[in-house]
Amino acid sequence: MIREEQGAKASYVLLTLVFLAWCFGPSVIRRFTREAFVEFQAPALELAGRSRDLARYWELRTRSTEELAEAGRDLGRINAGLELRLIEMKGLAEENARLRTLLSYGPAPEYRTVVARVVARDSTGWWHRITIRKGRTDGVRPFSPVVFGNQVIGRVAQVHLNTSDIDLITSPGFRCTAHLDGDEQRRVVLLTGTASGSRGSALVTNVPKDYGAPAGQEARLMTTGIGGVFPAGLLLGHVDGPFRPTPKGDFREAEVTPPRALNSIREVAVLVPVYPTPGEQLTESRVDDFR
Amino acid sequence: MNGSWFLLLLATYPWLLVSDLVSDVMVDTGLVCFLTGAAVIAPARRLGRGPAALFALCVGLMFEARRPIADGWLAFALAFAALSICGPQRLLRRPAAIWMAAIGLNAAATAIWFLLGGFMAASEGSQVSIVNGVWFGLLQVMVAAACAAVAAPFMLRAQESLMDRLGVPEVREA
Repeated sequence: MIREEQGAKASYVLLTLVFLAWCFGPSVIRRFTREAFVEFQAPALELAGRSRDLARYWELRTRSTEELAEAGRDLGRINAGLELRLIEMKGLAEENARLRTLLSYGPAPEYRTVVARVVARDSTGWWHRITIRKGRTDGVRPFSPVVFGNQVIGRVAQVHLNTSDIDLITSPGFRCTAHLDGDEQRRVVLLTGTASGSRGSALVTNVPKDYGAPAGQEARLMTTGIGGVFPAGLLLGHVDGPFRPTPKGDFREAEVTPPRALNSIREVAVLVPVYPTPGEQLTESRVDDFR
Repeated sequence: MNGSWFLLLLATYPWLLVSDLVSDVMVDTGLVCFLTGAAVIAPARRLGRGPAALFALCVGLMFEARRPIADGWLAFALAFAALSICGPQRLLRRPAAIWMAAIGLNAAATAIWFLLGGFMAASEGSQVSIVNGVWFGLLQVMVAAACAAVAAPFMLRAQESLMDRLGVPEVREA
């Protein structure tokens, strides 16, 4: 009985020591452990994602040939329109490159698109995340923007071997500068995710007091391209509800509704910068200094 | 220390995966189907202190790995809980007591990760609404308790039958 009690005490002491070593030990141990447990779970998540895709495939197989032919016709029309836009864009890109050369501007940020399926969603009052089926092996890098069409979905939070975790724009860690629709002075406002409850929402702050939304429509928020992370001109969301004064400063703030139902999204595109971003360059130079 | 705790971990993982998939379905509500706390009870009853603590650590780290929670805090809390269950093993002989313990530990573990999540959100400079947090935390704890109440009997039975097959001795008299 006494030995039993001593054994119990010893195990508590040992676990406390392990806990202290865990807390104050090198962070590489914690990082390695986290990565190991993510990789342990990755195959099962991938399998679950693929079986969901298979179920969807068989669901689509039940569609009639007429429905498919109609969808094909619609897609053909859209494609024809997009081909014209492509020709226009090519001309604009050439003109842009010429103007940049004339003004001695640096090259415009270029992105490689990595399309990925969503394998898991995780949402609480504190975070809103999705996991996608592309990772380090596909060239995904941390902090890369994640979009669907011209709409921002979020930002890559963590990259693993074959999966990546994405912080949605409603997640507390998300921050992005934006321009408001109808602001002719193109003043910069800030969009942040909020930790305010079950349904994800975001907040636009630093809105100037004299800003007025365009009459008869919701004010849209578009990315500025400042900082080199998000390309300019992507849709971040719509202002939802009235502007209210902020407790500090001479500004206003308002709730923002994301552009899509983020919880039902099935596929996203990760925009991986072709060149190192300013943040990556800074980190690399800091690592070089350290070395 | 043999490897039965690891085989038990592999056998428990499908339950945790299913709870993750259910959370995925419930994503619009912002609630998580959490079963990690309930998964610790049966192994802690029958395995020794070391294997029980290791099992609880691994199960906790598995939950934390994909979520923005401070590394290791939930896992170590579960390991301490597993050690404390190893003591009064004889109290956890009746199925009703085991079931109640699973619900209680699951709810407590939920409260821990929810607080840790709130702490991480606040440390990222986000505006944290305490009223919403408390209300939503309570709701999440109740959902976790309900999940444990529904799923724990099946999960515990599966874990017990595996331990029987592995030759893990029944609960000792203290």
